[in-house]
Amino acid sequence: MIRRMLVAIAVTITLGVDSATAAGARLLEDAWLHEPAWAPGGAALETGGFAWASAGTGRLFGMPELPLSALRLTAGRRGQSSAWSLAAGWQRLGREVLQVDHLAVSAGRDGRWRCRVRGVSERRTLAGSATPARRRVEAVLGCEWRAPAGFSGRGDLHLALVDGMAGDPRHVAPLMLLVLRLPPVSCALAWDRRGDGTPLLGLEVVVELSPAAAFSWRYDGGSRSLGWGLVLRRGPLLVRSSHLVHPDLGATHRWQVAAGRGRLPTAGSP
Amino acid sequence: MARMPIHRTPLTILCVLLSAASAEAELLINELAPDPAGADTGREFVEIINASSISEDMTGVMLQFANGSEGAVWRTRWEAEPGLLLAPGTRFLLADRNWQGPGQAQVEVWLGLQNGPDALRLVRGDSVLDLVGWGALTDPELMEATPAPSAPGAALSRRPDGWDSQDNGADFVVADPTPGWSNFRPWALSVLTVAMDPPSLARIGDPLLLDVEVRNDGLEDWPVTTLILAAGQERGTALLDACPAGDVRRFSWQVRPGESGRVALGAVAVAPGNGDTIVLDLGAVHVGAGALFLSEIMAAPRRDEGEWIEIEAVMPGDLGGWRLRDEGGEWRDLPVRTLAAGERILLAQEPVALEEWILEARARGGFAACDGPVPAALELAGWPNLNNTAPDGRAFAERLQLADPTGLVVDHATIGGLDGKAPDGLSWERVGIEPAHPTGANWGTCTARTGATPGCPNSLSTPGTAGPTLTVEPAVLDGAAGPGAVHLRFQLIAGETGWRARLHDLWGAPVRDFGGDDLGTGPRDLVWDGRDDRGMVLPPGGYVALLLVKGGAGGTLRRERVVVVVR
Repeated sequence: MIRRMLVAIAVTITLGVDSATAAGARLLEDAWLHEPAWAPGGAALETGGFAWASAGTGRLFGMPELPLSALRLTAGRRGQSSAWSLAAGWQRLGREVLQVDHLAVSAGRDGRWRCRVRGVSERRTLAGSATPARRRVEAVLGCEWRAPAGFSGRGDLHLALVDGMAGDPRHVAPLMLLVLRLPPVSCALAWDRRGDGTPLLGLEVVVELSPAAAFSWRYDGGSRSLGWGLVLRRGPLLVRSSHLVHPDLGATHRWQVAAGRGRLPTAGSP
Repeated sequence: MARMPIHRTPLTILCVLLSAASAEAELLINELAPDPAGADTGREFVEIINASSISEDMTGVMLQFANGSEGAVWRTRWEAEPGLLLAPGTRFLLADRNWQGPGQAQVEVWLGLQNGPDALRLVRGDSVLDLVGWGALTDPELMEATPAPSAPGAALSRRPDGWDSQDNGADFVVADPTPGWSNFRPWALSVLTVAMDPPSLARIGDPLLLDVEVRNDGLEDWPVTTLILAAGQERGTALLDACPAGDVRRFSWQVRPGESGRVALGAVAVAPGNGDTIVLDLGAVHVGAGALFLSEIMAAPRRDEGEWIEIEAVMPGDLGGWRLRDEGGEWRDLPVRTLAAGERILLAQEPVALEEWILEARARGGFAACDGPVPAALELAGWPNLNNTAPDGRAFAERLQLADPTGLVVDHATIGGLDGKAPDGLSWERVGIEPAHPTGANWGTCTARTGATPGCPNSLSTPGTAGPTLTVEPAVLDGAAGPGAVHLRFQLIAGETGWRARLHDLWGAPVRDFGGDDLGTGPRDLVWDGRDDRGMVLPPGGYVALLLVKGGAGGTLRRERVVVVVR
């Protein structure tokens, strides 16, 4: 398993990706890096079609001027060793004087070796004036592996194919995600990059308390925020929360509800 | 004639007088004022002293004057009446006609002294009793050894009284006139120089550093002495090092005046010998806004419009008597003109070129907030070429001072100091009449698209007052229309002692530290020009300004956040 991890890291370096960039919890779904194994995006195997919808809300730093909202639809079909899926999501930050609309669509194959193409379009409305949309197209390459004693993991590498946000020194783009699982604990390490080249790290630990409840602990290196969250599932309904506390700006509380059938092939936003 | 040891006290003076008496009677010219302040007529005087212990019959004694340009051609100005006696140690005051000075003259005559090089002597028959020459004399017949200095507006005084070493240059010093009484008191101090940094204070509570040079003008040596210092109602102390008679010492004082306007500065010393109180006048400093203030300075024009300075009036008034100077330069009178409140004048190195530049800038739509008539650019009598780099030994490139008709510096502006300076082609603008932010700069680089706003409201100034909560004015920093700035305003209320402020991006990362202060209640006004801590212009987007207000125990009393938008 360790050898595979090293291989994944080597692949990252070989592909010429320089420094990774910082995570940062600006949008609603930035709050979570991964889910418990039994959640829709978890690691457990299940065949057949799947479709999920989710909606979330929150307030960035608790500020009424910075509401957060998100919608996401995911559908696909999973086979014995792989799955194909299509996902679309919309997230919004702010209102009136400042508004950021973030659209993302992804499609790809998941399984032991994973490959997705993800397109992002972000449009900002600043004091009533809409700015031109900034687009980013990236390939997400990944792999999953299993080891004895229930140990497993996966890694994702984000390679920008088109990056209209590269000129923004403050923008944070994902670079790499590594998830390690040893039930009932899983750990995700995110390595992101800010536009000015600053690498940022994020860390999330999820402890599965039961087949229907999990507790998470999260650190976001981009903002030095620290917090916790809950994931609860009952039948086709899943609820999760995030409570990240910025050392200066205060707490951001997020809530998300997801409903659907089947198991999603991957975690995270589309 | 008597000779004295160097150490001079009343006791030694008495000894000198006594020793002189043991030899022979001695009449000396003790003090003279050939070039008094104001008109000479009625103010010139010559004081004669009997520096012996026996009475002197002055019969036949004459006072004679020689013009240095003519050589030793002596003209008698006065001859003593027969039988005139001068008691030992007493003075005889010969005053010019229509004597207007203090003291009672024994005789009024026409003295007709000149400012030097000239000479006076006392003679009896062929015997010269005393000889005093002053100014740039070279004829040895007109002086004893070396001449005394010229003394415009003052007197030439033997120090101490009756001291004669046969060297006029060594025996006489320039001093305040004391006709008819002792030239020097036992305990005296005089102020030679007063240096103030800064030359004016922007607001109450700002620090002022005084560096004072004093001279011991008394006959006694001052021991280490505590001076009581005053700046208006503020009090402080400073130690004056031990200072022998005639020596010079310095002392420094940092004070924060607690009142606005003209604040008098002074020091009081208590003489150790007799308990006399000696008051030193250290001048005055201006605190807060004056009737006029420096508003905008173009020190490094990129084109040919030349350097210029904008001055604005707080209240209506006449510019007559107001003066301006650059650091180390001469005072230059402002043009005679009457200004209304809020009116601006432009002082320009190249008035015509500046007016053309203004017209061109307006044609490009550069002055959206100022569409009135083009202000006239005026000339100064000699332009003070403004430095853009700090010379060796100076911590700033340039400092302009504005003084009122009394000579009091009511405003100044520093360029290239701690607060920085504007890049070439951009003006250095004042933010507000008084800085709302105690520790922040009240000057900054112009953010207007034209690079300067001559005759118009400054780009860094926006009307508004600070309330208790954090506000942003204007709500949007519009970078699309050129460089801009927003004001972050708030107020500390009772119980709040300090604040810190920062700006974060929407990912939560800090991008700009505004600092803070612990100066208690009052309004604050932070100007943000859209740049981060490295001076880089931040991209369009949303940012969160954070204000932390502290209480007396250091804890955070309130935390405020507000969204700032850069477009």
